[in-house]
Amino acid sequence: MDVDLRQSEDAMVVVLGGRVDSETAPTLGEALSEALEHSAKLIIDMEGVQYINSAGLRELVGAFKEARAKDGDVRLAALTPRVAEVFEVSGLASIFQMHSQTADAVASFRA
Amino acid sequence: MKSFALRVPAQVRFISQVVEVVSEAANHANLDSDDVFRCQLVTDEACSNIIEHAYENVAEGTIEVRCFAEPKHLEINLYDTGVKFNPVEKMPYEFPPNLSTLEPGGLGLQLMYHYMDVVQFLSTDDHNHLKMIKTPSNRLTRLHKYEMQVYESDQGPLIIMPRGQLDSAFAFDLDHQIGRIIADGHRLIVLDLRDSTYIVSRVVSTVVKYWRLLSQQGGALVISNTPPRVATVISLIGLDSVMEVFSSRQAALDKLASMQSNR
Repeated sequence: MDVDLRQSEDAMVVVLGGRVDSETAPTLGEALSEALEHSAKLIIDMEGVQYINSAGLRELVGAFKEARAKDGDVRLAALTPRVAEVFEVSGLASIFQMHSQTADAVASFRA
Repeated sequence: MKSFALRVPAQVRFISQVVEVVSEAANHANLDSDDVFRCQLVTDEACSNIIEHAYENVAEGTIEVRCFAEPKHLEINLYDTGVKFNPVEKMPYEFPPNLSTLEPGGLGLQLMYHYMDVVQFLSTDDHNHLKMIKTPSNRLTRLHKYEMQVYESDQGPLIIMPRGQLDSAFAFDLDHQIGRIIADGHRLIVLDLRDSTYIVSRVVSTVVKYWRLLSQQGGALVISNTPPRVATVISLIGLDSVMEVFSSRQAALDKLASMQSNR
């Protein structure tokens, strides 16, 4: 799994790539914690994610709860169809705000 | 029928080897790549549960996988000798999830039950046995209650023609689809709702988002052919007062053609 953090306006964008599974989920958790130290508005760019399991989902849910507690949010962008399906099946699609592109997610924090 | 088997130490770093065996068996069962992906995911989840709950992350146990593949039918069996546990009792899952009570493991179980045709926990005194069966998914009856066709009309505009229930999953898919269409340079789109049976407000807001965007870019997104029940929803929401809704696809295409010629 690749993870990269960058700032976009007052939000932090977490750019993910590769496989998010039980082995890599702790690294994702650390990256999300680091991002939350900078901003409670997180955007997860998932264009490069080919695979995510429940360990990865739980890290995202944890970050979501923490961000919400700080009046922020975690928004997802550019999910591939298979990854989007995992969010639908797990019911998390109704919890996370999703955008087709990262730029849309950045813009959504302006509104 | 062909069988596949492997036994590995019950540690996270060996899960990929179990998943590999299941992938090979799924390919042998002629499952398509989406179903192979689903089998990989549930195997990963099941192994994670075994490590976390049966072996409680400490015991030096093993996980054994045995698969039986025949055309369009895959049986996956996972065995462990950890603490006897029934995940169904241990990890009840609410759908959609309640974030305050979300249990680790419950998500994985939800994925297993959704993706597999059969999920059985068959523990005995000396081992736990998880049996799962997978046959090819039927896209319409399993995950999605809709289908979506996208094609270019003879006159040029793109036609998006969904069929079935336009639910929140469809809204997300539509958002993706139109985003890509626009990225490819198309600016004229007809959303033909003739075969839709139901529409949720999230679909309407997605349509309005792209209607607005395309209007700003000199393009257009129009709706045609709304069946009575869908038309009622569209009217109640007030969408028909914001954007044009045509009674037939041809009327929509004629309108877009006149827009093009007036440029």
